[in-house]
Amino acid sequence: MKDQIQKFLTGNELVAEAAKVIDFHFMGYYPITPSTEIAQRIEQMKAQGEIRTVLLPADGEHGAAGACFGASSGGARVLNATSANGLLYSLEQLPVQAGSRLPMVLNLVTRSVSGPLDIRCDHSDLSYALQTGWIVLLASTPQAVYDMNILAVKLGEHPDVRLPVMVVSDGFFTSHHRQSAEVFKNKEDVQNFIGKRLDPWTTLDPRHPMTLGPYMNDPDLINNKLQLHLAHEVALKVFQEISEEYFSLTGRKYPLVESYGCEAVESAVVILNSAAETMKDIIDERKSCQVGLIKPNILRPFPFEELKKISHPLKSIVVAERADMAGSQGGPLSHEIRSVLMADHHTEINAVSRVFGLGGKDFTHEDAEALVDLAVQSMDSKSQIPFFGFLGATTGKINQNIPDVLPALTKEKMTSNFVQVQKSTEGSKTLMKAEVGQPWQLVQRPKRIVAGHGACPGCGIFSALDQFFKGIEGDVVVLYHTGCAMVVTTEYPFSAHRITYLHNLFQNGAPTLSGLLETFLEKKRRGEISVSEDITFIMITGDGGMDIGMGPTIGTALRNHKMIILEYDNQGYMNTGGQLSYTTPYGKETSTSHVGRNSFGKSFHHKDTVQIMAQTGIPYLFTAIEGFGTDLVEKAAKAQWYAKNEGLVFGKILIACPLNWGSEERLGMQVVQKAADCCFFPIYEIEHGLTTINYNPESQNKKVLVNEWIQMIGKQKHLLKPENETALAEFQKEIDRRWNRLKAMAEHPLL
Amino acid sequence: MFQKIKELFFKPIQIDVEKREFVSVRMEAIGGQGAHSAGKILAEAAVLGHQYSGQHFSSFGSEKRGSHVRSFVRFSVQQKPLRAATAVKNPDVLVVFHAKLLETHPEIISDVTDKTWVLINASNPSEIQWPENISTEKLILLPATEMARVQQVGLNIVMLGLVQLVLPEIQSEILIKSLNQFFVKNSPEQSVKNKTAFLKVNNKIQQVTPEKLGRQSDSVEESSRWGWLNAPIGGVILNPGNTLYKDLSASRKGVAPKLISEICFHCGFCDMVCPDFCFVWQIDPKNVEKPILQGIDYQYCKGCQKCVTVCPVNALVPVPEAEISEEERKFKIAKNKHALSDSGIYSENHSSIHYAEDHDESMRTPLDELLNTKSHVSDILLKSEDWKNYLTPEMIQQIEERKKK
Repeated sequence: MKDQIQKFLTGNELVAEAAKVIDFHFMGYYPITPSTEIAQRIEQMKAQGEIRTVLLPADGEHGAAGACFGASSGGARVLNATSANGLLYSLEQLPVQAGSRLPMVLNLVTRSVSGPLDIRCDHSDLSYALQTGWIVLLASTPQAVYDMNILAVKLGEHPDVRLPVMVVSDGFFTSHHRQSAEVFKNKEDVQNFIGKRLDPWTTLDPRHPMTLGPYMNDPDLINNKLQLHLAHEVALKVFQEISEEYFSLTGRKYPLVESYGCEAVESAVVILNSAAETMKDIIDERKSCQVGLIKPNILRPFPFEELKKISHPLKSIVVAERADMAGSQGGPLSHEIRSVLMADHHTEINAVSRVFGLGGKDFTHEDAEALVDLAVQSMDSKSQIPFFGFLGATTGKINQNIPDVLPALTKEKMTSNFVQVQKSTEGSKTLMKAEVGQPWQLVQRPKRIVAGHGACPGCGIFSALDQFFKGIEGDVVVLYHTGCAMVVTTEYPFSAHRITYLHNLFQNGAPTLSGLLETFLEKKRRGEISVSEDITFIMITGDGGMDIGMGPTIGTALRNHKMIILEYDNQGYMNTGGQLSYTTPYGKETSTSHVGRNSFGKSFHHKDTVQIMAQTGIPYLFTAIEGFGTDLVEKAAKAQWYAKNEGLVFGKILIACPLNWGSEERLGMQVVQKAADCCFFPIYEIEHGLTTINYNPESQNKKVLVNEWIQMIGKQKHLLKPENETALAEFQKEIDRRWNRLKAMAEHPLL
Repeated sequence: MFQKIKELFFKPIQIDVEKREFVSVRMEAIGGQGAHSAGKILAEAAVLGHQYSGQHFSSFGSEKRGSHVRSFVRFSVQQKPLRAATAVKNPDVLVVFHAKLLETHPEIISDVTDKTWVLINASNPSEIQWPENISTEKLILLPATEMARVQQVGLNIVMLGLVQLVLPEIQSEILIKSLNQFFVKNSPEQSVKNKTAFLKVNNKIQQVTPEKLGRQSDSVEESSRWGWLNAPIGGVILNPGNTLYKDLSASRKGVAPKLISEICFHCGFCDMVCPDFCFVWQIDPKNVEKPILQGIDYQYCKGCQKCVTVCPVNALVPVPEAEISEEERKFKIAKNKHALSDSGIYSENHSSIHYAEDHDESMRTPLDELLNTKSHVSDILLKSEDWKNYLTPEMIQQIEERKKK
């Protein structure tokens, strides 16, 4: 036995503990609740100089998986962590990894797959993982999460296995569940256990050139897949061997399948992960019922023989799953258990399936009791229990009449006499000019988003969006990317949107809205929608959506659809707890760019999304800040004119996020004003390629150094410390370079 | 008046709690109040300090201030294994970080039992909306928000001090040690403040009986309205703007903006910067040139004070919550969930919804209508026995009657 120490940590924190002793070379990741904390903790260790692992914050999970694939091909020990749609977005990369036989460890912290979007736990993401060719280990407790991560390295790198491994733990129920856990006292003990990674080939040896990922059709591919199958067969044996060895080091045992209270019982409940732990309480409490618990610790390779042995003496079996495969009368586990029983010719057994706990619905002791009752009833072969169903669904209060809250806004109500846009000529430039009235007139515009949304106090998003909407006439359809504004306005069954709203995941809003817009235009052409109808289509995204969604947004811009894309820039992934986005300023502290002995915060410069979008040749782009001027209202009016008459508009609004910036709630407008004053965030427009600076702090004698802005922001002011002098100078230099370039563009019509 | 209530019903008490073998604690709070941290600190004191077996986890939505947060702690003095990954039900100690939660989430006290100590952050009993059908002898109030503000400590520190009073299993020195470890980055002065605030709780607690509390009317629970039988398919919401039902006043931390009408010249700057759309205007459709600011809808105001910052004439000032009069609080479009559905009236002038038209009387589909409509869903309901599992006895009866017809 090797020395262990007691910790009181969550599942996610224990992944980081394991990563510390495994000493991974590389981690590629992208934030997604509830797995994000893993990268955060590891990045924090890195900032403190506690680990060597290289961390790569990718532009999306697809990119993260690609980065991991590349690193692993060069012989790195690689870690990744994701959940739900993150897994699905990277899905096509996973069989590439397995088919290329490249080991790595991916922590899948389970969460329900959209849509509708749900951030809590179920196993709908795990269902997809089962067909990727990866080994899938199940960790039902925080302790198991730690142990399985270490086992995963050794298992995947075994020369007869050579497969990537997923460690699956339940989002929130395990990932955020704090329990006592033992961890190795000495890193060497773990290193001795996992050994050195040995590769049959590597992409980093020029003296031994190789081709990884050839073009392989028939008749060869089937042979590659048989090799994959054989590796899984072997992995089952290897897991048992290394699990034994691990037991001798730690006293902690992980059989292929844990059968709890199954001695001489007539029925059993099969259930995965955290729910199985809750189930154990009831199995103990209701011993007299003769019902046991079956909990697999591994799903791929599937422990077929083991399950056959355990289920053989049973009269009935209840498979309870946190996932359904709609239309197939059972989740994936149900089908696999049924196939085990069939292979055992065990056809007289009563096998029933129940779907439970979707979307994070708590699995209570009462639910566990209901499953035991079901197991007892199903022992009687004559019982007429439906073999498939949902546990815990509710009908709703269907005999209650409930009226709508608000009537729809009418076109007349949304048409004002204070917003006007006209052509105006200044010298050689012909530009559009908007007049929008004064703030006291603008209060007359009915709000398209109503009160009662759940944003943080002082959130800049909603004042900015309302200002923008104040300048927009008539009917509007909005599409929101996943993000703060989406989450706080549409928590089911509530919606703060008084106009038609749709959501799509934040890779893909721009194409979605372009599809809707083109349908509107085509239906109008066909006479299926009255010609007098006119709708303005507006997409709203955070700056994070302009990382993962940049490609599709550029594609949409290149097609020049007549719509508006509006980015509220809060400089990070604030919806998931303040991780860095590419737009996050240089040196800012975020939950994935910690400040520590080895780090001053974010290590690369902020993305200039407006200039990237300008190169697509769209007719109108603008920047603005939240504030009390009518600048943004005017730009909204112009945006609507361009979207109606010419094509796509892109606008970016800097808004304050008091929670994740560490700035004062009441000073939101002042903070972003300083960002404009120091030229970090210049306020300008581009019309037909012609740049106009709307606010020039230099000519108004208001220009300040970046210092004055960042001293207002808790997460940036550490740059003012003497030890960060170089970083601060570098930041100022880049701001000046971009500002001078912008001025040149404003002066020269060809730039 | 409040003073009188205090004299009548607030009696300083001696709390006497017997040690238990197993203890479960549930904290109900609003994001930003520190309930998650409080749970963690408490559990660490139990597990690392006392070597009990224990567990802690929290349930939260997205990372926002203002959302409902629940924090669960269980520990066993006998070191029995604690495995359940499920919310604490029938807690030994129920901690409510904001009295408003009893109004907005009445279900949080539905599982109170005889053994449950209910600890509520409230300064007087009338703040508390307590349902008639739940009785308890073990109800303690503490004006924790005010104490935290005055003593310049986090609310969770005061609440932990309160929790400790009913947890004889946890020694206060051990809990303070765990607390200091959590706030290790705090200055020594702050640590002293924390400790003082933690220990001072004893002087301010008041035990009350439910009869003295405000009464809660039955309310329509929007959240449990929809189920598989009646929710529109596709997960859509066909009830635009129904967040107006929500009450967000608990997001304020004791300070609110006050409108001084005599100074206000109705410039509209506040309306441009308010993230929560709280300003109520009088707009005369015949004279649109003159919108008049009437007041603030405190149901939605989260107290960020952006309006205070931009007001060019200081007509908006931050004041302690208690200084906002009942008269000033009258600008409510949705006083409660019934106000909307009963009368169908909402302020025509609220900045959120002014220009509202006559109330739309359309109703959602009741079961009877569903069964009358010829559809596959009604076929399933009428023919299949399986779906009975998901229906209430009354619904089954309705379906049986339908079948007979």
